[in-house]
Amino acid sequence: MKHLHSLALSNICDKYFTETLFDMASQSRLKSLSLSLANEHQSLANFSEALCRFKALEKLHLSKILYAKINQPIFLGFIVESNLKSLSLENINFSDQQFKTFLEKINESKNLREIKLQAIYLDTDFKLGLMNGFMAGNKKLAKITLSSNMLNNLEILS
Amino acid sequence: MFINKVLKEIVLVQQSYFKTSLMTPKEPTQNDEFKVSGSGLVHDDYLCMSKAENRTLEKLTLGLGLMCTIKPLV
Repeated sequence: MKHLHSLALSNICDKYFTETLFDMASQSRLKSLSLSLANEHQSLANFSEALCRFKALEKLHLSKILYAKINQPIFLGFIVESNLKSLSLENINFSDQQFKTFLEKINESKNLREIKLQAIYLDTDFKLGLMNGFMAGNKKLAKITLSSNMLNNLEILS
Repeated sequence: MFINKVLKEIVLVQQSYFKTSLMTPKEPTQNDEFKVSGSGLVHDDYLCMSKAENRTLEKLTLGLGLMCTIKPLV
């Protein structure tokens, strides 16, 4: 499958998942990757490290990843350094500080043009303020999609 | 946010704000009993907007500050 460009896996429930991810990374032309876990008990040892092996990746969708379980500095480093143009995150719980660091790294990325945050709850004033400032200040992104974020008003656009 | 001239597209979907703006209190009929909770009408007392005025667009455009740019499509 040397010419595989896109791969989507959903309902992942495999204790050897990240090892498989390392193998997948050998698909050097893979440009689009979508991973959705079945539950939060999934082992994510070396998940970030495996993700970094996908050198040609331009589009990444991650769903139901327990953010606290992954190596965050390596994951964020991948976002900054990789060729990713589109990042979509779904059903991921960020703490206030984690969300702040995440947006800072998005700002540092030179290649990202599109970001989608789905079912990522902007449930604190701190997160809302961060997102508001991010949307105003980011000079790279062309498209931002917010879906199911529990927004009770549109002040985020002010 | 309008100083950001790079951002070409914002998509806001499935937000609690739209859901509440799409609901409107049901008008009581003679056979209805009013259910009032401590914070006012309870959720069951709301009907979908299909029977009521939809003010979502107005709220959204006001929120975006775009009202002055909308022209009637006649």
